[in-house]
Amino acid sequence: MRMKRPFIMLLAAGLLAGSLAACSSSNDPSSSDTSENANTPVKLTYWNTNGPGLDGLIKQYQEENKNITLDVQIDEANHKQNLLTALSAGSGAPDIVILTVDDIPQFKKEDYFYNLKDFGADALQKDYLDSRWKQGTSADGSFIFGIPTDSGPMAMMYRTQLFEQAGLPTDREEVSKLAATWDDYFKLGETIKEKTGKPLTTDAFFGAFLPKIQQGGEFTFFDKDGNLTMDTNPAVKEAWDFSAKLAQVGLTAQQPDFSNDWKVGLDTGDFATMFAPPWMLGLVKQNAPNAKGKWDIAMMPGGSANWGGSFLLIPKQSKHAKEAYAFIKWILAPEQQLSVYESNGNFPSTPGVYKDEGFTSKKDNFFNGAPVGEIYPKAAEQVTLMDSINNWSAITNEIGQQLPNVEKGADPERTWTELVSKVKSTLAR
Amino acid sequence: MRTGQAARRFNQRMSDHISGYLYTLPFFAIFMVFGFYPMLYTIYISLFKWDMLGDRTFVGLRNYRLLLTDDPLFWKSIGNTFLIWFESVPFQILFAILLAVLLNQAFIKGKGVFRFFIFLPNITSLVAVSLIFANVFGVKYGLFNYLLTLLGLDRIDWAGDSWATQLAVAALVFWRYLGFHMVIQLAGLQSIPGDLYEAATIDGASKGQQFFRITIPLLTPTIMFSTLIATTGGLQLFTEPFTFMSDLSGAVAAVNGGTNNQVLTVVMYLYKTAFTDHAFGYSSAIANLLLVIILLFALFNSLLVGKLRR
Repeated sequence: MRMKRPFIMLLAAGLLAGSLAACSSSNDPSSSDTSENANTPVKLTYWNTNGPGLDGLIKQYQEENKNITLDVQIDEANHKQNLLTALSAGSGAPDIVILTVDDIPQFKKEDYFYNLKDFGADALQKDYLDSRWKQGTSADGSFIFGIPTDSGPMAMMYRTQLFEQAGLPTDREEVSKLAATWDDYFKLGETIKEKTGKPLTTDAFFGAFLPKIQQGGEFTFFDKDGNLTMDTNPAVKEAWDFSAKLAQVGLTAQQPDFSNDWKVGLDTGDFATMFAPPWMLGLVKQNAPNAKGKWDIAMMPGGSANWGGSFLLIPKQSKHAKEAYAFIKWILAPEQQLSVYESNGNFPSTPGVYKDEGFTSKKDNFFNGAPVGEIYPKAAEQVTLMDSINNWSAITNEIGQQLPNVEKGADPERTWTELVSKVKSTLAR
Repeated sequence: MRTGQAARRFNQRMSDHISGYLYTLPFFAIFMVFGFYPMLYTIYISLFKWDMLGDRTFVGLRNYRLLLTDDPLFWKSIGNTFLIWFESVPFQILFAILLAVLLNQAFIKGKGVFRFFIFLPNITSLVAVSLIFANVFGVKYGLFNYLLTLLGLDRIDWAGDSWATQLAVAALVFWRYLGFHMVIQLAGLQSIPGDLYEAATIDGASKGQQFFRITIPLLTPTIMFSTLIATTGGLQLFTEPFTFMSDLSGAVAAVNGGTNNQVLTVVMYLYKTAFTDHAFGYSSAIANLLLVIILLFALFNSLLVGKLRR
């Protein structure tokens, strides 16, 4: 009996020590310097999502590089959470990981990823859209976290029938001109509302704030050092004011993108326009198959803005960073991006291929035969540098939550003041 | 080791003990690693300001102070959690008992079929369930609002009106776990000896008297069990409101529990502070406070059960 207590203590201590050791064992980054030759089999773990449509290319890469095996793991729902856990625990992170434009700002921490510049990635920059490339680097561009996958330059879908009913032109060129600036866009909305009774856009967040803020410059919510500037930067307030104005006069359908009501609205035409990057077109077809021929595509106000797209990064824990980089460089090269565009419709972030003939001639029958191969390259060129540092999504989340209240009649100024103080206390935690 | 009978007996007892510990070791080992250690770590982390990638700053009890004195959303999330609990659980258990009593009647044919269909929601994928519910409670194209307009009534703003969203989520919880509680009550009913009813019938007790004098008292432990399960589950409510809101009005609404945070439960708030705001110390502090609340409830429950037994 006397031995009972020490025995348990010993057991407990052993277990605890074991588990602590397991949790704190970190990989030695220096071991990643692989001296293996090309024939040593290497297994690369790759945390992917369903978005980028790279499956066929991954197969091809393994066939061409017999020594490389790619272990592709997909857990869409917990992707970001798993990565956070693996990085902070010091083990369990993959060799390659994908991160969306929304998530990457929070992950730009130099201790956790390889600087792809060390592998010569800066030489690739010229092949990629500047706006997309800069989202994947540190604020001063010295640290390259990831190489961009596909891109999401936005254009404007419009419901031809509603334009007709409102006595407006339905030709793409003319519609683009009608909505050249945001003021024009607002006036367009008033005309449509007056003549048809239908609102201009889906909701105040996706239909106004998101694209406006993306056109607001490289530093909007934060300055280049990561300090909060959302309350002092006029571009942010301007985006808010415009969204609020749109909401207050009832130009938003209050059918936020991706909600069930939105899916039906795409079919029935409850809103006259909607901002859509190339990947959105697939979603529209999927959710509203009966709307074929009812939507067309023109340019959006203020040029364009980027919505969506991802990056491939190499966590510091990887022991095969060199092989991982070789894979990333190949799979995201212009040639491969073009083939993914042809097979899956993912829009390349490498403008060189936009001039390819197979590219420019592409039309989309679902959207009245709109020449997507001309519209989207033109949009992509107009995408300006945008905010991609610090906790961008904590702020857009707060704004996305509050705009529906303005749509329902809350005072925009008071909501804004409350929102800013809420963001401040959130960031202080 | 010494020889001798006493020593041998001691050794025998000792090895019994050791084998006992060895048999329970797998559970404790797993519990230590996946239960106890994370719990201690959560307490430790809650004393820091930490975004999970980068340096931790020791802030002492600041997170708790902020939570308790300077965070209306935290209190709102607690209020929401209890409100949704209150709107779903009492009716759920009442209905479960009624259904169980009905299904326990001798005259009902095809009990297995009924039992299966009532239990079905519980094993249906939550993704499908919340998609259906989002269709029912859609603001513009929901089934419910369609029926209302047929009757010439106004639509209900299920996404914006706080009480409406809360009711919708409560309905989802009610529907999903009704079958589970019904099965538990049914098991409780079947453990009540039939001769009690026979004796009561001979003594001239009516069905109603039998229900209130025999069924309810003997079912009390089962009801308490159901209540405890529903309460601990209800306090940790997350997936149902999250996926429902996501289908109803998108990802932002899911993270915030609606435009007025009307269905933001404690666990949803914990999740938001961790994975949207990246305030992991703060989030850990919420987890610990939730633990305290659940412990209080468990204590209250065991006191109540103890009193009922006496």
